[in-house]
Amino acid sequence: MGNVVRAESVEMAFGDNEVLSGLDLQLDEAMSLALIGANGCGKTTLMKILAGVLVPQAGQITLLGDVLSKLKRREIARRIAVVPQSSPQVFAFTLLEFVLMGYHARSGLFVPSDKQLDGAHQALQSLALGSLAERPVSQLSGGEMQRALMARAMVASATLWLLDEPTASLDMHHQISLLDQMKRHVDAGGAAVAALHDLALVHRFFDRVAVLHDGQIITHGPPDDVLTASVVSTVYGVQMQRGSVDGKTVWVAKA
Amino acid sequence: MKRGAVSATRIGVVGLITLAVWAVAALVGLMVGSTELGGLDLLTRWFSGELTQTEQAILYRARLPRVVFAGLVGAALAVGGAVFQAVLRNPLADPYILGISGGAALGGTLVLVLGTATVGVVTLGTPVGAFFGAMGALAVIFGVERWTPPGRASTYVLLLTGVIVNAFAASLIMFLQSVVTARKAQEILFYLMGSLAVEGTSTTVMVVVAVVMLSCVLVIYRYAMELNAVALGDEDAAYLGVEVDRVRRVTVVVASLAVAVAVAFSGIIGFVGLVVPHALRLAVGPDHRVLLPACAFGGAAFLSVADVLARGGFGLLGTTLPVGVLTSMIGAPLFLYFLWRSFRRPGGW
Repeated sequence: MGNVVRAESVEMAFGDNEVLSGLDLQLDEAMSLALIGANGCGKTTLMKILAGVLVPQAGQITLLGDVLSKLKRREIARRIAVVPQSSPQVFAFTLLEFVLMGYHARSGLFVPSDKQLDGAHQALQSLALGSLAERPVSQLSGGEMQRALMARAMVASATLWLLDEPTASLDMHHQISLLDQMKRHVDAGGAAVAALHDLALVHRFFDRVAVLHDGQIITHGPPDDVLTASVVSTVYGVQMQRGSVDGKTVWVAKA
Repeated sequence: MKRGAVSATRIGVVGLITLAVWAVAALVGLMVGSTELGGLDLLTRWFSGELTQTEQAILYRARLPRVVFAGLVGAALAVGGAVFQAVLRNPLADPYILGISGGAALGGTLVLVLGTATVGVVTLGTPVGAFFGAMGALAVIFGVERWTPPGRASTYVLLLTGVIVNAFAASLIMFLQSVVTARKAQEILFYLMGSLAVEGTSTTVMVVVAVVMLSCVLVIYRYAMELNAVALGDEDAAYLGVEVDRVRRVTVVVASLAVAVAVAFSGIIGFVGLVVPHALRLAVGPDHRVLLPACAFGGAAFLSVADVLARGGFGLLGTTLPVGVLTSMIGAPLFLYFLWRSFRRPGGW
């Protein structure tokens, strides 16, 4: 099984605030990794470093066998599709125009081909956005925008998906439908790293989980092995209890 | 109305429509002037080759160059405005807010005050002074951006530096106006108000100016798709595979060059770069593959019409109105209308 991304001894600080200190991470093909940790622990920073838009002060990222910092942006975008946390849009691009931008890194075409148009419509349909294709992205709700970003990532045909809190604004139905899309991508040989807080979703959809705390990954492995009440208490500072409903793991706060 | 995805047909249709609007505006420009020569009669006799030598001189040496020049300056200003708005993600940005006009005005004013100088075969008149002033302002703006630490929102650094450059240039211009004679001060005032009069400019200079401006517009169009991505935000554009710093630098420098050349010869003509991209974005959407050609022809048409109105004012006011004054008179209320409209229809620019 080939290695998709590897981070070695990554260090990152903003001024005096050390965010990541000697972090190591590895992900292989056909694997999904959930990144969990408290707010401000450095999940987004790590995502941006993996995506190549932040350069760590020390350490190295290897992406599909190449050193990330030596790759051009277009080449990185051919290998990585990012679903960032959504930000407000200034210009009124339609949702269809927005999703079609996902082809940018791979396509040399000045205008989209019929195949690309079909692909964009298909991605929109699969995330229940088909009827909004003509709506300006600046008019979308937070949840619709998150799905729009996912649809754009889906058309990019990249091996690695980086999803930064992709379910934060979604209702339960759309959380599951979005992560189903991620699972399909992983089952087809891709790889995905997602930062998220819902531990039940981590158990259900991810092969691995890495727990980020104090700038380092304190433990990682299959969710059922790694996520214990003690680990969760250390990371979030609350007492949680793990249980099972119809064979699916759930977490409940004790207090 | 459904816009659909961009297609070659849509780019072509929008381009042809805006080209036709400019062609009509240019024809009107040929038909109007301070002499009695004009109207449809002029066009009819022109096409049938019945013009006298005097009429031909008026048409070919005064009106045609002015109409072409108005088109080129309008195109450069509008395309420049569209580029700055996308790159800065700020619908209120235009070539002037970045300080280019301030630098150009200062350069031109300095030449007016100090007098022309000749270096070899080149006479340093106001256009040359204005051009170097604009490029000087650009050098300051990008110099400051270069010192900006990474992650410090260089978009805002560009905007704020532009505001400071404009303020500094304005203070120096006022100082110069305060120390020259009243007659010279009035000369400076009229220079700053902008004009499209090209009488006396050699054909070679006109051709060079036209080639530079058109080349700039074509280079910018080459980056239309990248500008779409950059308009979403720097980080988002990087995720899509765009080398953001390079695209921003190339498009801003090339757009500034076009604007600098335009300002060097026409003086300060405001609001074209602000109003034309806004109006056309409402009509054709923000995709730069469609928007940029529409802005080029739309800007050309807008300035041509403004110039016709400015020259038309001759009969009413006994003098030709400075076109820069007129574009601001038209542009300011138009911009307020677009602003009001955008508030009523949420959904961005």
